[in-house]
Amino acid sequence: MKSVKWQSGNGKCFSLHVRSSLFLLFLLLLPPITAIAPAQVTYQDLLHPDPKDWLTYSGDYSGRRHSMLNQIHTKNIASLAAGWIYPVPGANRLLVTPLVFNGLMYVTGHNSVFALDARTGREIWRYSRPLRPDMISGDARPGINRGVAVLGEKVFFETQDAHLLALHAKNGSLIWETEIADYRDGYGGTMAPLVVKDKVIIGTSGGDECVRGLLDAYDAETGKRQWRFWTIPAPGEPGSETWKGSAIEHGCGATWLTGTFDPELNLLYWTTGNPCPDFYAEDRLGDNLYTDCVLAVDVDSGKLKWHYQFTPHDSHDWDATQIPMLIDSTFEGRPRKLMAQADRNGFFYVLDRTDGKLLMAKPFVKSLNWAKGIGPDGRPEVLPDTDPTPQGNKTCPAVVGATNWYSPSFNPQTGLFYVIAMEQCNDYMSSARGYEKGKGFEGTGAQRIASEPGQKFLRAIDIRTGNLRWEYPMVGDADSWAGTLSTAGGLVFFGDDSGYLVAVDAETGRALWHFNTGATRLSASPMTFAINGQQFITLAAGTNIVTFRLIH
Amino acid sequence: MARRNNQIRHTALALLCAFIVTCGEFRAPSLLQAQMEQAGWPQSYDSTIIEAGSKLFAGSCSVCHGIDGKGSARGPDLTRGQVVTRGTDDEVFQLIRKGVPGSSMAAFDLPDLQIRQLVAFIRSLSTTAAHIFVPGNQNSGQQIFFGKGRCSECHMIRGQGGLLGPDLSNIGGERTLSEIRVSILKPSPSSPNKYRGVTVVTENGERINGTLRNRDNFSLQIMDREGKFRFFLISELRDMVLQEKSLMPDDIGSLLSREELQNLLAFLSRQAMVGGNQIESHRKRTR
Repeated sequence: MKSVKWQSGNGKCFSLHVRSSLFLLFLLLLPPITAIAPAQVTYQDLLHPDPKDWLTYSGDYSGRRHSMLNQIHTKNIASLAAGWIYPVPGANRLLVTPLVFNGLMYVTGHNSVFALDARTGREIWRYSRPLRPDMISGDARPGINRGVAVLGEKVFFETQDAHLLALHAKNGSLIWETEIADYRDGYGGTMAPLVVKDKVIIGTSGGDECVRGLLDAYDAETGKRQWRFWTIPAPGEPGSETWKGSAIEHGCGATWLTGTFDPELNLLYWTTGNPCPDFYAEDRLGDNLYTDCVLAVDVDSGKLKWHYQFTPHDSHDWDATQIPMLIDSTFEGRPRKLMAQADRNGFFYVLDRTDGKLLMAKPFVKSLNWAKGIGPDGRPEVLPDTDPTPQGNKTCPAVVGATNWYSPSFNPQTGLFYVIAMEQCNDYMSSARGYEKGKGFEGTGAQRIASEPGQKFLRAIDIRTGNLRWEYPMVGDADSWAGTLSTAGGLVFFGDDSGYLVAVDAETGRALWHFNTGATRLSASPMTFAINGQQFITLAAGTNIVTFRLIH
Repeated sequence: MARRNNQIRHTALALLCAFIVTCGEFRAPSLLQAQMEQAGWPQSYDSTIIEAGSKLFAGSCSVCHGIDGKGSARGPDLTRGQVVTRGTDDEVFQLIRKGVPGSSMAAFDLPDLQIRQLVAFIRSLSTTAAHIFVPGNQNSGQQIFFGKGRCSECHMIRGQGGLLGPDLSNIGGERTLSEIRVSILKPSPSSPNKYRGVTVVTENGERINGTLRNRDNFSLQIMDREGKFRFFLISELRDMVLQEKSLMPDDIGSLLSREELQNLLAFLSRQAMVGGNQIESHRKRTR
């Protein structure tokens, strides 16, 4: 800056007064700001996001979490350095993937939203509300949140107590608020909504708190509900025959992770959580539809087109709430519309996303003893004696899963699917206990085996064969929840098991760069964006938003 | 003593009831009251009691605590002290009645009613506007906000209004009544780094007028006159001029009648979120 005039001091009172009055007059003569259409996020932007922006939870509708930005690449990554840190007020563990539009970043903390200058981390506005102390146990209770969605001048946010809010994108003013479901019934909000067309698509948490899972679409303009799909059928409805016993009344199947969308097929792909009670399955004999599924739902009508169930009659709390990734690729000799998912149950699945037909399923962890494989009919070939017992039964994967909600990524140049995998087994225990309103409904649980701490890996899976191309073993306590980001710079970024943000070569898995964030348990997935041609990498690390850029 | 206190409570209640009857607009709904109590908020006080307390305070207390209760060299700030913000009404009452031994705070041998009035006033100094009774017609106040007062040209409430000034959706939950009144009648920038007028000239000569959203030694975040965010590093600017005075007009006091101002205050005071819901919406629901 060449010169800065700081207007202060008593000697300038008169001129200041005139100046500010004139300035005010000048502003008042302008048409109201709201009447001018400023740059806004449109549905076209969401369909074809500019690589400089990050407009949805996974970066685009496909869920690949792959950015075309390549300024930061394998040759210059040694010059990547921290640019700024924003400690999120009130946070104790961040899970958010920030969104960025035109240099403005939106992050969520505990029941709060913050807008930041994405280049400097300086706060522009904040919206916050107190946590309800009377929530049923579960992820929503401490107020964890994975982020917002944007459309037009609105930012959409799910509160801890399962309300959907539309905030003004420019100042956080609450425009409308809709109660999704009653938090006293176990519903909570933890996921980032997904905007498609004029709709805000949401699910809820409460998957261990006896809810009846739901998938909703709300009018982005008014907050009015347009449709609802129940993931647990009512008695007598199709699918209810897969529940023998009384558990169907509190069957869970929660929808707590943001889904994906195929504009050509007009289908949403949304995954569902475990049945309840999680570990006691005797009162819900049958497959328990539509728990542990991916649902293909018409976005306009909310009608189910097809479903695929990863873990029928689950008794290990293996929610299928992992990102159902949409990939267009040649498969077995012909171009196909694929859906790939590395599931919490330990298998890597590739489906034809037009009809839900299973094309391939292979284990991506070695610690897997509940099923021999996935049969040609798409059903797991379950091995005997793998159900939880009152005494405890060692089964793999562990309850935290072979992977979990944290994001995988896919690089079309390498054809590799990058996923954080966990090698771990647990002792699973069960007990019969009836439903009690206002309490968790787990039917006991799982515990670590002291002599087998487990280990986390970053694994690269060839989507055409399901075979492991390379892996990156991590040192740590096997207790982190960080995901991955793939970039056209030939890099995979991920949070490791010791609190580091690490970048590896996408082709080989060789570590090229690392940064100790200081967080003891990373719990979010990285993202990237650009401002004025400069690329940034951001990770919510512990209680901080940390952003990196090249230094020259 | 206890019986006298009860009598005073009854008198206060009767006064409150009389107010509620005369101003049908402002029924104190029990649901709201219960929510406030559940949230650990102080009880509401009748404005007449606060006003009486204000007069007593000016006569007996302001010499040490300042006319606004914010303290002076002779006495502490009563808007922040632990006892007045967290203690019970009875604790504050006893503090006035008995004084503080070993300090310059003397004992005030006033009638119970007057001490109660002082307690109510002192509470009102640190109690946000949403939690006290504010007379006036909210509907008329709303019309002034969006009409004659031109407040909505710059301020927003629940998505309605302009972007130039701060969003006021929770103003009643954040500020005391006195702070709101002062900010209307004698506006001044609440923060040196927010909502001030600013003009910058970029390195390539572009001149941008707007209002500050944030600022530090190295960067500047403004909203330009078209409502677009423009974020700069200071090193990218050739020139920057900050306006010293608030952009808020300072003639609102003469523009509005006393009654209109009171109605506006009544409306603004009710702009507060309770767990995300406006207090006002609770009121409507409970009618």
